[in-house]
Amino acid sequence: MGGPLGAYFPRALFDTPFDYEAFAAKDGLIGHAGIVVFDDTVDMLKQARFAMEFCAVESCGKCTPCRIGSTRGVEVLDRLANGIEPARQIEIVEDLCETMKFGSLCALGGFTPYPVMSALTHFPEDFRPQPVRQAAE
Amino acid sequence: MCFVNEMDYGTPASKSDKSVTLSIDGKDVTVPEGTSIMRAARMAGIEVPKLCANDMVKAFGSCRLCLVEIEGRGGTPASCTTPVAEGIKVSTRTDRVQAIRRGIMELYMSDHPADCPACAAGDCEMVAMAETVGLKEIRFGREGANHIWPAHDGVANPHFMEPDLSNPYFAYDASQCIVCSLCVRACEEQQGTFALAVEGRGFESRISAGMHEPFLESECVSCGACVQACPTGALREKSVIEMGMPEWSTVTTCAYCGVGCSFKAEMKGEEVVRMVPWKEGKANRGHSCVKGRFAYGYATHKDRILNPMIREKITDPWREVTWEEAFAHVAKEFRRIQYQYGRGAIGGITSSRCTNEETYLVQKLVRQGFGNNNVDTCARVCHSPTGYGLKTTFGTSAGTQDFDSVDHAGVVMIIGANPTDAHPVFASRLKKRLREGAKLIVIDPRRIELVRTPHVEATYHLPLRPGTNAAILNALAHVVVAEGLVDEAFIRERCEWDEFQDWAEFVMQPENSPEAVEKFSGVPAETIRGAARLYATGGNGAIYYGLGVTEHSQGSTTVMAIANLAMATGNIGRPGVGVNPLRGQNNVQGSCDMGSFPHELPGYRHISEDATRAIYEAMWGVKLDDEPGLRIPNMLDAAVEGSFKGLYIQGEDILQSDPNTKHVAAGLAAMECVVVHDLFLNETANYAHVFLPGSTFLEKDGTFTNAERRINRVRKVMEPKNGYADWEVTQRLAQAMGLDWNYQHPSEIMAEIAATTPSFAGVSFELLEREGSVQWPCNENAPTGTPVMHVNGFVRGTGKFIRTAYIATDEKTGPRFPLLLTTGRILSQYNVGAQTRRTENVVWHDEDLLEIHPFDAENRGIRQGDWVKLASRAGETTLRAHITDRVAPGVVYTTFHHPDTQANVVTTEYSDWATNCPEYKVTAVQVTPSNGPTEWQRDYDEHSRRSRRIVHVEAAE
Repeated sequence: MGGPLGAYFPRALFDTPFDYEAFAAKDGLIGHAGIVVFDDTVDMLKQARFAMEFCAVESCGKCTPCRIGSTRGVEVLDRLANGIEPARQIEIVEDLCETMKFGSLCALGGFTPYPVMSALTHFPEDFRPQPVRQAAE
Repeated sequence: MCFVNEMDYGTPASKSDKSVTLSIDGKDVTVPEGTSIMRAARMAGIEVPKLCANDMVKAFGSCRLCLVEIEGRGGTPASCTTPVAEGIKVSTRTDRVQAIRRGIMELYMSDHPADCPACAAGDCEMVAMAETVGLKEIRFGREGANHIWPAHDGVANPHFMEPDLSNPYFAYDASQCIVCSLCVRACEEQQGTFALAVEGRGFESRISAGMHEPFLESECVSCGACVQACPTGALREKSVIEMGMPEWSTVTTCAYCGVGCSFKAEMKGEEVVRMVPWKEGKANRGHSCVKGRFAYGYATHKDRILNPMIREKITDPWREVTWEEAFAHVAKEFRRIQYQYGRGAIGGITSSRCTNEETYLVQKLVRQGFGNNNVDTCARVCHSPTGYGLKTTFGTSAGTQDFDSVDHAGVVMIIGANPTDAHPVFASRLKKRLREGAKLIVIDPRRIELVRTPHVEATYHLPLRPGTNAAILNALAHVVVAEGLVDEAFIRERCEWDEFQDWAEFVMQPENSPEAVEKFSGVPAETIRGAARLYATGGNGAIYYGLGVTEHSQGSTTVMAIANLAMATGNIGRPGVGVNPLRGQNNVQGSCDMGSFPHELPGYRHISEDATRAIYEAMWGVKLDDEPGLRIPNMLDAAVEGSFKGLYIQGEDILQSDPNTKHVAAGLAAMECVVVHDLFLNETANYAHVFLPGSTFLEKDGTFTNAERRINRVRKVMEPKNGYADWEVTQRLAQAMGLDWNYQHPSEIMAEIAATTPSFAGVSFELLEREGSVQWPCNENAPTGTPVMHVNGFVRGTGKFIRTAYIATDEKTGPRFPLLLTTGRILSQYNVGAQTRRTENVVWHDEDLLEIHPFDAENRGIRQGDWVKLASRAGETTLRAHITDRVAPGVVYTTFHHPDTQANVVTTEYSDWATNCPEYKVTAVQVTPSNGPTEWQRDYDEHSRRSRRIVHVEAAE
């Protein structure tokens, strides 16, 4: 919801009233109010990585959390995708999102954590290490 | 050994007089409105972590380390960019902000070298900051995208930039850069050059000079502000990289120009590691230029002469002798000459480069020891008209303001000065004010940089023909009077109304109208009118002027014309206005104050005043001559005539700096004992019989007085390499001549100055220690000095208007010499270059060039870089041409920093009618293509080489 820096809502949140406060209460945002719908073939880890990459491409570079954080975010999610110490990478991503959300100067770095964290919170299965995911299918 | 540590409050001080009380971490703090939370916290003793802020530049809010929480407000605002508000409760150390700080430092350190040499040396804040915020581990590693490694696994790193070592004084290593942009902001806000920018964006962002150029090739003027601001090792002094961090420091005063910047000399043992501008220095407020910041290497240059030397004839080689032998020889020679040719056959020249105390001693030696008043100083050739003109009109021989005054100016008029080159730190302060909206008028034959430079543009530039200053000022006054722009209330209250009316009648004469002056000055009448209106109506009007005013046959006239204009418009006696000479040398104000002129005792009291002489006669125990002595040009004339035979010259190179070099050489050659007391075998020493080695400003205690009358302390940081500070040399010479001098320390000399000079009565080393610096007059009426003069009335009682009729110089162009030569300076070099030529500053200017307009060049078949012959009726020299439209057609321009150019071979003997200040700024010349050096240059070169031979004494067995 709300553009590239909007949050991903799972089916369970589809009944959220279209309202700033209601969305904020669910860690989402109205943004530009656009809606993009994905079916179940989407890889939410890739979507999280896309958010970080988007931030890295768009970053002006003035503040540290966005300038370095977005690039590191991509790297950490790549490590996660490659199954390198997955639990540790998730912990790092969570901490990084906190730093970016509260530390960034503007909304670019400050909102990039929304798609990342909503993907991680609502679709944790996509962030599990590869072998486990394959086994589940 | 102590280290001068300066508090960094993180953001600049607020100027508000309203105060605000808030609570920070439970402490109540009251600060001026507009103060940042970061600064308020520091004032309360709470340090909020930061990397991208300092109190010299505006807050930027990019590093995000200084985030805080404010009760009742959401989020985590940056304390540097958030102003205080009444009653807010700020927490600087909550768990949330601590976690964010750790997260940020973890990101920073993931792109910072693990083995950062600057961190190891303690010259980089990164490792210390990581510890401060409690960072334990860099979980990202350093294998990701980074700026650290040239290549990884054999693949070149696209982000890596090779270190830029092009600047001789500092290195830029992008791998250590954290893109805080402090350097960019220092370059913009402090220096005003705008040479640096952040290039690229996002992770690619890097600092870049110019258009992605090496620093040396960019617009960078090497002021050092960026190096000082850099919190990491990205920008570091090469001296620190080579020598390591300094161990102790002390505050002293720069020995270059008349701005008189305060520096911390940061030392390792007896070696200077670096000079860092001192924020509390009231002249420079923490800023510097390439000369003071970096060009101190001459102090240890191999050319320095460390042993006294004697020779019979100037064609002999030098013979090293002991100090005792040298002093005995000079004393014997000077007494012999006086016996043989009369008491007035010897004299002395004081130095504007030496301290007040040293200058005072030289004039005392002449008056007490030589028994005459044959003492003069190099101010003769620069600002003597200032002394005369301002004394006559206002009553004091000095500028009226402090440098802080420029912050309050509404219109600034620059006349015959080029501050960005000659007074760069003042220029930076001026440019800052101009960027804030003050208007600028430039009166200069050349399009100096200030006419148009990034974010600064003069509203009016009056490119007058050299020599027509007085006429232009009269025309400005004409407009002011004609259009009723005078400040009648001010004039009636503070000046003589009758004198004003007489003057007003004079300036209203038709020959002073802009239309009449346009004809020979070349400045359009409308431009003159516009400039006059702007100066008179643009709020506080401040005039700053330089040698382009004084070094003319009408130098004194022009100074008085400037004073008239300021009085007529009421622009005297408060901050933001005034008449300010930009003085050339570090202590030229002081040397004038100290009685260096043949007609004046210290404090500008005429030698004919019985009461003043009585003070010194009582203290020195001698009868003083009540007639003025010889000025420098008179001494040389008398030498040629055969009546003047001996001269003690402390720290001045009259052969290179005085006009008509051939005449100076002839005068010196006719003397029997020329004593040169200097750091180097300068050009004058080629004609000397005795050489006494001098000491640098780093090797002695004392005071310098800058252009704003500020008496600054000079502090010794190393023993004199030649054995004696200059004041000790003069004292021992005096003792050898039989005088009973026993000063143990320069503070005792200052005590004598204070005891005998009313305007210095309150000055002592203790006071300077306590106050940092004071501006004279400093006495019981002004115990901590006088920043702005003539506040409630003029020192002389009423301001005096004087008729300043324009009389064209006798130096006229004609068929043989159709061009006008004017002279000036360049940023990286200083005066005759004796010091700066012996530093790396030569990379910016290794020869003097002749600026010539493309039109004049084309007429003569001269191309860029060609050798040209520059000839006047006095002499000729050769140098290379630089074709530029900075000069107008008909005008050529050069500098005089290099002795092999000898620009003063060309200048003439014409001088100011009142003070003999030479007319350096106008010489009729011809320029023709040439194949190389002139005969004079070749002969002189050979003469210099021969006269610098030294026979070293055998080492004692």
